[in-house]
Amino acid sequence: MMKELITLEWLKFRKNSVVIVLSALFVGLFPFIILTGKKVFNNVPPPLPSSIVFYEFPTVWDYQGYAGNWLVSFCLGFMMVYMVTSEVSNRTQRQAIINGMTRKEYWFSKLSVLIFMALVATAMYVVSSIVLGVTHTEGYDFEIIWDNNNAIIRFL
Amino acid sequence: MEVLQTSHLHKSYGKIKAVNDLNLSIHQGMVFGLLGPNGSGKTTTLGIILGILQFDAGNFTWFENQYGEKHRTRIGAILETPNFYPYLNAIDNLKIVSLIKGVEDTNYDDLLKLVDLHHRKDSKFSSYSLGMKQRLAIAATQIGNPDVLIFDEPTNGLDPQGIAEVRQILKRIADTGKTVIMASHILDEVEKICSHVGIMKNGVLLASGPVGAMLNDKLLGEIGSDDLIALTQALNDMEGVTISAARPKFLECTVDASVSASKINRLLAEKNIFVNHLVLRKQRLEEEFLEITRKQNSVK
Repeated sequence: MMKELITLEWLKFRKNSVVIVLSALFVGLFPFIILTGKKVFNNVPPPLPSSIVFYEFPTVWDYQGYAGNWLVSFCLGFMMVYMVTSEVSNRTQRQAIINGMTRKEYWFSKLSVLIFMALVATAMYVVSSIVLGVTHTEGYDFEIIWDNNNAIIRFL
Repeated sequence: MEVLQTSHLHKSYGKIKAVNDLNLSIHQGMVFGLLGPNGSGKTTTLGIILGILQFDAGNFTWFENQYGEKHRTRIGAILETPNFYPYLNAIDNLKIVSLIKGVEDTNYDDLLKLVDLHHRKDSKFSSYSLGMKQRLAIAATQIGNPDVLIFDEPTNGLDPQGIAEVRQILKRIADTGKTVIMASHILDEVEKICSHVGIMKNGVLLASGPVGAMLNDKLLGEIGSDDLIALTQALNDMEGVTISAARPKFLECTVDASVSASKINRLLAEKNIFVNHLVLRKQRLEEEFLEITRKQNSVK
């Protein structure tokens, strides 16, 4: 049921230029945008020892989460709004109901996409944080990696 | 089987009553034409029975409630404009419709050939002309071989060639014995395609029944002569003939079915009036329609 509804949304939007550009931007920028901090914040103000805390376990979870969140709202948030409003302006929402969807199904299909995108973004967050952490932390072990793991839930 | 039954449907937009106490009963195999001038509530009615508009009172049942909530997957419908994703091509758009309808083995090529769009199947919907959009919409209604088809002013805004094409397609569909509900303000269209009509005005269903029964037996006559004044007098005296309008070159009148053209000709000739124009024909839906809507106006 949920899989069918996501397939439906995929069929609808896979060739839409707005959706393609926004997802490309998100996928391209999300893992690395935090690295711009290296250029911009050469000297961080006192409470932080140096900009390395951005990339180090366990604090990378917080900073990657913070930076990623902005991208999520700009790219995925806007995309979701677009996916709902464009259906209204193309009158395809109306047509979907005429074609036999119930209103409940229609909104559930949008909700499924939302949940699906949140899960994908979270998976990317986990992977990218681990990669960043591993490449920037000297001497890490499993414990220190998972030290801040409630951040995953917070991000989601 | 009764396909659609509405009872005492009401819907108003503010003070305006768009649909007022509508009772319709549509049986399987009917080609039902919903007639009425612009703003008479046709589209509102279709919107309500398709579940996209809320109504104020009354109720309606599809297929005697056999299919429950999913009845719309058994209906192919276009309402007002063809609505598709402008950035997708014909096939992708039809795929979405079949997924919604839960149909798996749709033959898209055949569907597009039916509406003569096969050569443009890979073009984006936004690049189509209005006629092509309308034809794609008709193709979409055929997906899943639905029991009922609903068309709302299917030839609206098309050029004469487009109208002829769409009409031909509709006729072909109607001939397959499917139930069709069609709203239109073009009487000619309804007369040619439909088996039953309902006439609406200001949200009220004024009359409904088989097309044949809507047309009464009286004939419509056009009688012309060089001396129209004498002709008027002679016709006023004649039994079974009533003059309804005077035209520059002839008089329009309603004639009882018992009166034949030769009888009129003979009676007039006896009075030394010679006709130069004499036509008797069956009343057409258009005249009937105008008469019915006029009656309602005068009641008000």
